Amino acid sequence: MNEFRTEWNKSVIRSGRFTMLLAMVCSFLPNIALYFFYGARPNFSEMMSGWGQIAAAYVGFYIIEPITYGTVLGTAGSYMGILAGTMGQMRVPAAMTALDVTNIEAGTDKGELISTLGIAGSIVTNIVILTITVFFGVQILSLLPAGIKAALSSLILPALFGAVLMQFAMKKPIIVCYALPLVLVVRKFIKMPSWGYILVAVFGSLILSKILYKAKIVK
Amino acid sequence: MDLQAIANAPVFWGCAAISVSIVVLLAFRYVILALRFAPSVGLDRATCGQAFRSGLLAAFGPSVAQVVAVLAMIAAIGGPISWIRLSMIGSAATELVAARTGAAACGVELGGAGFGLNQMAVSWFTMCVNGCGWLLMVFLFTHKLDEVGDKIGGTDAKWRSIITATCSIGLYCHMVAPYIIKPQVIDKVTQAVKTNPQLVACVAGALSMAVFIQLGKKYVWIKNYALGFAIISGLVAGYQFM
Repeated sequence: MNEFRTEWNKSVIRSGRFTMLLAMVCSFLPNIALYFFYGARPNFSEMMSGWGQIAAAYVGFYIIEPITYGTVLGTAGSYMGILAGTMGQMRVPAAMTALDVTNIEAGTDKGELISTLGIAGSIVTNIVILTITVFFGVQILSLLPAGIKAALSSLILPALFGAVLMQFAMKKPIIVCYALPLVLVVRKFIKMPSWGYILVAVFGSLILSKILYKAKIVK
Repeated sequence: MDLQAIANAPVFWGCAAISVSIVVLLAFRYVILALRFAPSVGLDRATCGQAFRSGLLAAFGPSVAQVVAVLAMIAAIGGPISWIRLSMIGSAATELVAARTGAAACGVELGGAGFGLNQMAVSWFTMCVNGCGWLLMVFLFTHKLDEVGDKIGGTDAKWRSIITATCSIGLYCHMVAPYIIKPQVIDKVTQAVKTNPQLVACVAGALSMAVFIQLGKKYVWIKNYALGFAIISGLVAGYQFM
């Protein structure tokens, strides 16, 4: 690692880890307030049961997502991305657009800074729109006809995912030729929890890439 | 006291403001850091500004996509908690699953009969600990990310760029897969089999993106809006099949 990476990582990691800790503690504030101000006394075994059930459903994601998105978003991007969430929907597209517009390659030192700035920008938009929705959403939405509402909530994400896939695919088209069939076949014929599909999509494709890179087919 | 009134009480808006600030402050902190480090890698201010603005614009479409789900969530669990949960980690879908799981652990339905103060507390707690799962993993392991990358990727720069490309492509193949394996759906009203509008939106989004990327090579300003234009194209195309 060069000097920039060492220094940059040091600063990023210090703020990042501190913030993760702070966010974990603060996320329990509403529960603490319920306890002290409203006298809530939830049953301990029900809490543990809730925790156990939800962790069983999502523990795969806790592990898989930071690793897979981490390789795409970088260190600073991971801290922001996991904290603010919706990485596939917002953080990766933001980083990609920032790199595209500035003509800088992902994974380089410049690219690390550019995607960090792009992701930070996406957080601003995200929070502003979320806040407007929380306070005025009902009024705004009542102005829209039902058909448009349904289209907005069901069609934006597929269009976005298709567009982002194309954005990556145009850089290395050959990878799509084996990644997409692999994903489709596994999803069609093998039943597993949703995080299992991510695992296959990313690491299955990586194994194929490795083989084809050695065979000098993927360059 | 009525539960909805409690869930929307000022104290929880206060908690929400704290959580949302944490997210914003981290983004702010990283912007400052990036600007400070920019000269050492040869990036000028203008390019940094461009990158930030691109991120702002790129998030617009996906943020709008959330609006309806966010409102459903507010109706179910109240404004402040929705604001906290969605500014941190969660997509609306994940958080609602967690809220319901918490209620189910108490043997009641979210907002249903028997869903009182204590059940609401369990439901909130379940959303929190679920979110903390991700935060904890990142807290424990993300600072080792570059070392692991060095181990897997080695010093071969070409192979490392293929790793990044493969992870990105694999991830988005995973995202579009549900639409592709479901080419047809049943119309809710007429019960007739029809083309899946989500698949249409996905394909139209992809194809128009290819066009906008090509155009962006010639007209640089398009690059910033390519994603937005592609989303709109997908929306319009998909809407014809709804």
